[in-house]
Parts: sequence; structure tokens; C-alpha cells
Amino acid sequence: MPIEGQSLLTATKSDLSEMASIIMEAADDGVADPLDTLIFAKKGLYVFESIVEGMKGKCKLPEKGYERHNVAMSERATGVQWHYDTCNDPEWNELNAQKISIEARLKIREAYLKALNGLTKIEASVNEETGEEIEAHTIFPAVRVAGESLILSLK
Amino acid sequence: MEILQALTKDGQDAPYDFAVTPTILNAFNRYMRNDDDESWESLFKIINGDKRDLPDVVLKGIQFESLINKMIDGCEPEVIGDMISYGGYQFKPDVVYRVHDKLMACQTKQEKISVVIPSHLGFIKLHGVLDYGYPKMITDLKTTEVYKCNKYIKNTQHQIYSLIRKLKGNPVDSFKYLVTDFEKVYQETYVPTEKMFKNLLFNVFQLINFLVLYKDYITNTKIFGKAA
Repeated sequence: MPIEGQSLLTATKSDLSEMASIIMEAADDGVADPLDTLIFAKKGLYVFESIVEGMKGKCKLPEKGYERHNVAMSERATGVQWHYDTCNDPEWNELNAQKISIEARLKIREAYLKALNGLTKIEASVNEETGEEIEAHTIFPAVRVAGESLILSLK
Repeated sequence: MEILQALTKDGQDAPYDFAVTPTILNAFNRYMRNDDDESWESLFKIINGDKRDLPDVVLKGIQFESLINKMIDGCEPEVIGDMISYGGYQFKPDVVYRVHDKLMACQTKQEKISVVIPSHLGFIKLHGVLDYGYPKMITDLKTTEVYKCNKYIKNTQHQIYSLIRKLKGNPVDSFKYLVTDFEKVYQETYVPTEKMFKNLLFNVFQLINFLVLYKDYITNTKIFGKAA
């Protein structure tokens, strides 16, 4: 899509931001149909994402710090992962075990809290493991937040 | 949602425990995201309202907004050569007029707005300055050195000001960031939703827990109120 004489190949990031802004502005201001705009973008995304995926491993940079058509290019490692369970470090092993245990306890507690309806009054008690006194208190229900998204499936 | 009820109709003089502005919440969020722009020191400078040295692009932005406000009030800009000259800076006429044309129909300019909401943490005052108000819309003028799409998606201004307008009985359909890098004009529009308001409140609760935890570092007397 050309914009003010620019082509997509040679446009700057600023040109592209303006292009997106102009298209969204038309939808926001009622000039274009928002659903049509979304479909248009979704299809464009499909095309361009497919091309980016298809170009993986096919492009070689001639030198470090290479630039072409207002694009800076470099190579770097992606998806780097470190595995610490092979280190035989007792401290890491213990911390990791605690993390797994806490995550499991959190899951159980969150399932309990999720099932509560309305305010729940808890009477004063004593923690049997630590002997710590727990004052009477009220537990509030967990708050569920969910959004609505449009799911578009290209045909 | 009960916690979204305003304590008073206008919220102006209601007592409060904590006062939150978009500026402080934005700085807190940047710090929590490990954003390079926000350090522990810079966060507390913002919370405490300490004076900071402003970069030239910010000073230019302040003059740009001042120029637009004067034009909305009916003043003609001074054109020297191919540029508009104002406050020691030169601006491109097409950019100035495009921004002016978008804002000239506003009903309010730089309006201070606030509301106090009750919560399990106490009474929270949300407040700030709303750039340009319309019956069903708010517009915030932004100037920046470099713009990229959806730059302001994480900004809390659209969340906080839309919520204040809703609680004051004057809800908006959209919040628009009108942005210029002094070369081009861009806009981002956000539509307020209940989900956005809920997430905002959780974000505010997070901030308040942080403020309470580090109360000893806070010298700004406006952060903690004296609720009755």
C-alpha cells in the first residue's frame, strides 16, 4: 500500500505508524466500518506472518550492523533456556522443591477461594504447625475479570 | 461492581486516604515492568513531585500544547517563512493546523478532575488534569520524539480519566491520544470497558500497597490524605 509516494519496502517506521494510524482513524471516526477494518488487518496479518515464517533460514546478512530500506538487521540467539536441575546444587534443589510445593498449595487454596460465595467469616484459631494465633477475620470472594475478544477464522 | 461506586457525586472535597494520579501510576508500572526508563530513584522523584530537568523535546512539547491552546482561544499563530514560530521553537504549519482542527471543538481544556472511591484499603482519590473534554470523548495531546503504533496502550490516563468521568455521571465512549512527533500526526483511540476499570483498580491497589510499604521514603504530603 503506497502512502505519500512511499512503498511498503522502503517506508520508515514513522511512515508505517502513520499508515496504521490513518486506517484506524477512519474506523474511529466512522468513515470506515470497524469490522471491515479488522478483517482487512487480520488477512494482512495472515499473509505477512506466513511470509516471515517462510523466510526463516533463507536470509543471510552480508555484515554485522547491516541496514537496508530503513531496517537495521542483526543475528542473535533466540529461545535461550538454562537448566539448573543438572547442577547438583543442594540449595537450588531445595528452593525448587519449595517452589513446587508452594505452587501446589496455592492451587489448592485458590480453588477453595474460588468456590466461596460472598463474605466468609473465619473464627479465631491457632496454626497447629507454628502455634501462631490467627485473629478472626473475613475473607472476601475472589474477583473474576474476563474480557471479550472477537475470534476471526479465515476461510 | 460495588467498588466502582463514587463516594460523593463530585468527589472534590471528600476525605481520602490515598491520592493517585496517572503520572504516579504510570511510573510505578514502568518500574514494575523493569522498564529501562524508570529506576527506583526516578520513581520516587515522581512520587514525591521533585523537580526534574526536562529534555528539550519535552519543553518543545509544552510550547506546542500552549500554542494549540492559544489557537483554540482564537489567536492566530505567527508564521515566519515556512514555519510557525512560538515559544522559541519552530513548528510545521500542517502539523499545527491538523492538531488544532482536531481539538478546536473541545468543550473543556486542562480541566482538573477527581473522584474518591471507597475500597478495602481505604478511600482512594483518583485525580489529574484532563487535556481536552468533549460530551462523549476525551482527547489527550501527546508530543514525542519517536512514535510507534500503540505507544500509549499501557498508559493509565485513558483508564483513570474514563473512570472518573463515568463515576461523575458523564461517561465517555472513547479516549483518544492525539500524538505528534512534530513531523506527522497519529491517533490512538481506546474504548473504556468494565474489564479495563476492574484491572485499573487492581493496579491502583498494587500501587497503594507499595506506597504503604515504602511510606518512609515519601515526602509528598499529598499522597496520603486524612480521611475522616
